[in-house]
Amino acid sequence: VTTPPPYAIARIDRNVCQGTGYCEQLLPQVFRVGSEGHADVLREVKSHEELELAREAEDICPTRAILLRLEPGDL
Amino acid sequence: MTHRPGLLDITLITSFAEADEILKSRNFMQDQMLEPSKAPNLQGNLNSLHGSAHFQRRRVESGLFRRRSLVHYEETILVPELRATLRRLADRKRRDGKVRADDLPLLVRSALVRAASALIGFDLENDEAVERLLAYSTTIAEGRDVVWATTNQDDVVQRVHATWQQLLDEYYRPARARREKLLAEHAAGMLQESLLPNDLITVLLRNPDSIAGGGTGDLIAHEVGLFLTASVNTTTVATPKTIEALLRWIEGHPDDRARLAEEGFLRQAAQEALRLDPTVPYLLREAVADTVLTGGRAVSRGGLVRIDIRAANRDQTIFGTDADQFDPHRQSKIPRRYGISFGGGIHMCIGLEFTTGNQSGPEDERTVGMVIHILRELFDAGIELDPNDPPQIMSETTQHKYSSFPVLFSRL
Repeated sequence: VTTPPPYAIARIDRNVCQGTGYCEQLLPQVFRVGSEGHADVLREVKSHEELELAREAEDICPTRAILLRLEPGDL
Repeated sequence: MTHRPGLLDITLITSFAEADEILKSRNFMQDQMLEPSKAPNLQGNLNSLHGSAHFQRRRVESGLFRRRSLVHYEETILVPELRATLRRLADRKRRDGKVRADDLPLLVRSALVRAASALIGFDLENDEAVERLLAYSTTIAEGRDVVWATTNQDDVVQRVHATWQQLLDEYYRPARARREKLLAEHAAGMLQESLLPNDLITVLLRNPDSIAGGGTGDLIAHEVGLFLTASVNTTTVATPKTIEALLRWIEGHPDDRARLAEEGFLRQAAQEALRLDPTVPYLLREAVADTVLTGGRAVSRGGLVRIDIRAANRDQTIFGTDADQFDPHRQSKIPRRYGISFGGGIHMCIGLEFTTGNQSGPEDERTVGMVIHILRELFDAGIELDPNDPPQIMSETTQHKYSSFPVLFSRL
């Protein structure tokens, strides 16, 4: 059985993340604000629906801490 | 009716760690007690919302701050407007070749009004409309600040209420009516999506759910009032502070004069100036659950805390033993050079990038920010303090505001 490839990989710039939690509210499967006060990435973005929300998370983050890397050929 | 303590009786938070923890905690919400003391009262605006109502509103409005829009506000509107203002000043050159501007905060505000109008959706048809809006926005900004005043402000409040009604009649209602008409045409298939404006009034009209539940009255108008004051005020307050601090810094550090043209240096200086003297003195929060902070402070459900932004931003454990001093090269323990001047947590200022730009991520995603653009233009024009007429700080408020700030330009 092969696992389908991810649609995108999210990364958090911890130098600028302020743990506002918008990303977690939009996509709790992928983002979670930990006890240290900044967001962590739990797993890759796995569907078109998740990708839309991940892009919105990028936009809504006031410190622009989310970086999405699209996986070529998967979209 | 629940007894609400006066502002100065509320538990004061001065340490950065406690302030940061409260701002990020889900156990605290925005307190509503300040809004009715402001003029105009803009109840139900983004800043006063909590929980899902806040999240839904923020979700809709964040689209206004995408990079393409910010670059448009900065490069197509702000910079040409500022350059035109400076060109007009050049007509008043003195015998020594210098040009005097009597009121630096007003000069900054005048450059910002067009960009703020584009963000909000006000249609400015001619220079007279811009001038009138500039006057209205100055008065309304005064009214929103009366809550921080230490003297009676009844006369200001009265003036603000009249001005607010004029602004609604002359700018807001016509702009809203035009957009309602465009949206009706779009709904009827007579207007393409790409021809609809992308501004605050339009996005709120298109997303009525995001505006419902925030209170009573015309909540779009309340949001317009918030955006008008917030988008103009932070930059109007931050820019003169940075100018004064930098010019005094250069006197003692002449090697940094060459750096006045560097975007990165100007951003660090602006963030440092905002850290030392934030736009507003306090943030209020109310506990929604019994809470014990990491340092042991207990706050009962319903309890209020008053975060002293200026004190937290001068916390020596975070910003060093010289935290009271201006140092554009400062290295702190946290990456936020501006401290908590833009708030924190879920209520982190939506206009942060609008004000100071964004420098994270790929190069083509970065923005400069209004304050940085203005600083660059003013230093390029050779701005200097008037040695015979230095800036004066207002005494009748807990805010750090100038009552007088004349400047000279040597390269206009």
